[in-house]
Amino acid sequence: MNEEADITRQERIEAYVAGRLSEADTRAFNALVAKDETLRADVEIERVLQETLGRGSELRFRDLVQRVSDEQEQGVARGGGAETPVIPIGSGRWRWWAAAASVAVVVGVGSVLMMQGPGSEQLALAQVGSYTLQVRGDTTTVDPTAELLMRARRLILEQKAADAITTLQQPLEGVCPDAERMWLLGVAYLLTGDEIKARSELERAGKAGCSISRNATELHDKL
Amino acid sequence: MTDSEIIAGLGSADQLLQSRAVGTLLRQIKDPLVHYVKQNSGSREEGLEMANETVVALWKASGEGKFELRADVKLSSWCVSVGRNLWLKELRRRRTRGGDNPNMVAGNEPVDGITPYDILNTVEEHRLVSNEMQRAWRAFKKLGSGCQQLFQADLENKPEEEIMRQLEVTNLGSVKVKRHRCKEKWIELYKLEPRIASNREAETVTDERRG
Repeated sequence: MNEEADITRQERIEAYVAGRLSEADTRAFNALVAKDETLRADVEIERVLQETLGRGSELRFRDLVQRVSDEQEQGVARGGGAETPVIPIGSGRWRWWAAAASVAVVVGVGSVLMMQGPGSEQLALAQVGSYTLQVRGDTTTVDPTAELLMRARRLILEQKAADAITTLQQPLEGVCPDAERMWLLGVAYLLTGDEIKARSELERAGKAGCSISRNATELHDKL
Repeated sequence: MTDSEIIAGLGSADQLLQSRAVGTLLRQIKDPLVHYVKQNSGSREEGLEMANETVVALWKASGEGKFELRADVKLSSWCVSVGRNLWLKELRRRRTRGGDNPNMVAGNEPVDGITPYDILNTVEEHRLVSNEMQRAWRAFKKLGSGCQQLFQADLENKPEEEIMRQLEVTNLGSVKVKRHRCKEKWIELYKLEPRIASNREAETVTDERRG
């Protein structure tokens, strides 16, 4: 069967499972399903896939719950006791980030090095990883600006630079938070290969006169 | 974290905040639930599983606006009650299938006369994840980000033109081909995924086959 016919068949199965076929088409399809075992199996698979997709956000959340639960259990197994916090509330944020960022930086920088050799991308990732390790001041009060910047840093370290770009589009209140946003945006553009935009953002961040401006200038000069 | 911070954290888009909320809540409800399950024919693992399911049930109810924090009920107390009822529902399901009481409708009857309606409702609406769905989800996570985004866009009913821009293609035909190839890949990965059936999952699959 050629691909076009395959596509038509698949689309019909999808429409059938999703209940998008007309009454007459559904009856006709039911008749086909009744006598074609392969089609019946494909319909069953399609049902599972559609239901899975429909519960995608729940399944993602389930993964997170399972991960946290497993980590707590591992803590118990190591002798830490049931009260061993997975993610300590007090000073936990930076520790969590330290662990996560270390792994991400090693993986990320390693990948870049393997693919392209040391260069501006390596410096960019190292800067973001190193800066993330310095972030302290965890409180239970959520600062939306800090939260946004934290999310962007994480996306960059997880090699989701395109998502970070989307996250960082809106200017932030305050010169230095906005400088940090521009620096991260510059890094993200650089990692997606858009050097022109990267230069522009890094230059603006470099001129802001904030502590992060030094990183921005260093990276800008490397380009 | 206070109860309201936990609820806010569960609903946050930030995984770090979500993890903190989940961790805090699990620490509060795990021990009483494990104890309860072990006292009622279950194991520690099943108790932990009920704690996880409870957090998911709360996340879902809260996200759908079906849960409201009340000043007179601690969140952990509410969750432990949900977890206990989930376990009893599971036991009833097993008994029913075992033939002890074929007339019993699993999970639809109150545990006792004083269980509040919101808890019964949460337990009633909570759905487990079948083994087949777990296989499909594991396979989905192995797809490339492009395919995952495409399926997500379909799920959100994004217009084809927007998907075209997202995929950086210039015609609808290319979107169709891409969608088809992604689906084929997903099916291929799904078929390769082993069936890892726990006691409960195996039973769920059996249930599904029975229709």
